[in-house]
Amino acid sequence: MSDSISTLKTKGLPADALAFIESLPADQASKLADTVLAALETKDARVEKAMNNALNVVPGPFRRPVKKMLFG
Amino acid sequence: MHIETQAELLKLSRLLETDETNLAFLDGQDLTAIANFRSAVSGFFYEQHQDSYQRLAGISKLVPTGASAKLATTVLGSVLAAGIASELPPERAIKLADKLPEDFLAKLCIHLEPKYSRDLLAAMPDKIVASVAKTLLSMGEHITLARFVAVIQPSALEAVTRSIDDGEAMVKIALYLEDKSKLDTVLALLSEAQQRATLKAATDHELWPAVLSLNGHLNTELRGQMGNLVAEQGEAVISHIIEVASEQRLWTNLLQAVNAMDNQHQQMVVNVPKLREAPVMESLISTVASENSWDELLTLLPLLDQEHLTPAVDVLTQSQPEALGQALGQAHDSKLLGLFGHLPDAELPRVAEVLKSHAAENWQAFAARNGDAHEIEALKAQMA
Repeated sequence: MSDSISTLKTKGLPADALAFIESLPADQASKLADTVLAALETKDARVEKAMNNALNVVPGPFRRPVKKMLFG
Repeated sequence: MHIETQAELLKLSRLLETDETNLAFLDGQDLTAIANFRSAVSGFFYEQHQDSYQRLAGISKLVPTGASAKLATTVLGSVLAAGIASELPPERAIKLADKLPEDFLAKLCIHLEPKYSRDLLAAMPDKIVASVAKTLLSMGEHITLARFVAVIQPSALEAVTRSIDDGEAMVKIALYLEDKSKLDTVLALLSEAQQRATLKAATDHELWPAVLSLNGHLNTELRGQMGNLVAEQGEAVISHIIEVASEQRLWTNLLQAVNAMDNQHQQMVVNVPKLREAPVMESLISTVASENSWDELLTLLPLLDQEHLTPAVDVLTQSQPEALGQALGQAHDSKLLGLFGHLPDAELPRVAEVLKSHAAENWQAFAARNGDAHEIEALKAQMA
């Protein structure tokens, strides 16, 4: 199993999506898992950036507790 | 690559933020399996941040909608706003949507996760849907619009379809529809001018593969209606469509369309000179054989004039003689009788020869089932 497939499994990719990836020939499965993981990272970064933009309107001293409250 | 596979891979590549050529290795996989995979991954991406969306939605509920709208456009941005909107009760989200600028709302819609935004889109008032659809259309967001079409209220769908006069957009939206059974509803809402616009766009923008493929999802009445409009495009367009069907092996879809046309148009279409070309006829017969669409073809063969029938018999007796045996085993007897009854005397010897050499068993069974049929008397005499 490729690293990307293991990572996606750990992150909770649904079983049927994992099954689809694993039904492909090994090189294709690895390529698709890499692509899904890369997309996940891009989307995470986009949401993170949007959240930071949102937090910038909160006065500095309150930023950390507000972030913890909102985004865990 | 089949046009519907291309469409599916385009949707997946968009979700995965990669070029669709990077996913070309998925060509050949079951389309439904790819669509299910895409849906599962889309939900998975959304769920990574769902908790934060829920908390932000909770806060948003405490703020007046005007202030929420201001925050959404100035601070949150369309990505976060889409997540939050999906977690708000629909009535609250609708109040918010009413206060958002159209272009922001359209961008927000692009980022909505289909499964989690279904209730919201279904509850959206017609006025907002039509306005957002217009903006999405100007942005070329056909995939997002196709998602809309699948879930919005019938009255909203009517408002949206009324406002679209771009034939290319109509074809693409139809192509990207998740549930193709919706096509009948959408097409029935289009005026004849709009339907003609889709056909013009098919020629102007090389969209005939899409139109042919989509045609296979229509009910017989609409298929006939569209088929007649296609036939009215004239010989040059029909010849081009035949080329497309030949190159992309979309013959079964084309045959279904022709079968649904009225008789006058059928006669015209099946006797265009393009169809007499040997490679075209070869492609037609081999596709029909591999897809077992003999009934669709055999219904039309009796409409061929002699000039067109000869190339068909050439293929069935010379380059693909096994096809005739397959047809005998798979097609309905009534359709086969139609073909055999239409064969001119001059063609009987070579057809009889192939039946004897390549399809003796199937022929005997067929002849036994249809012992009294006058359509095969001459052929039986030839084989005796």
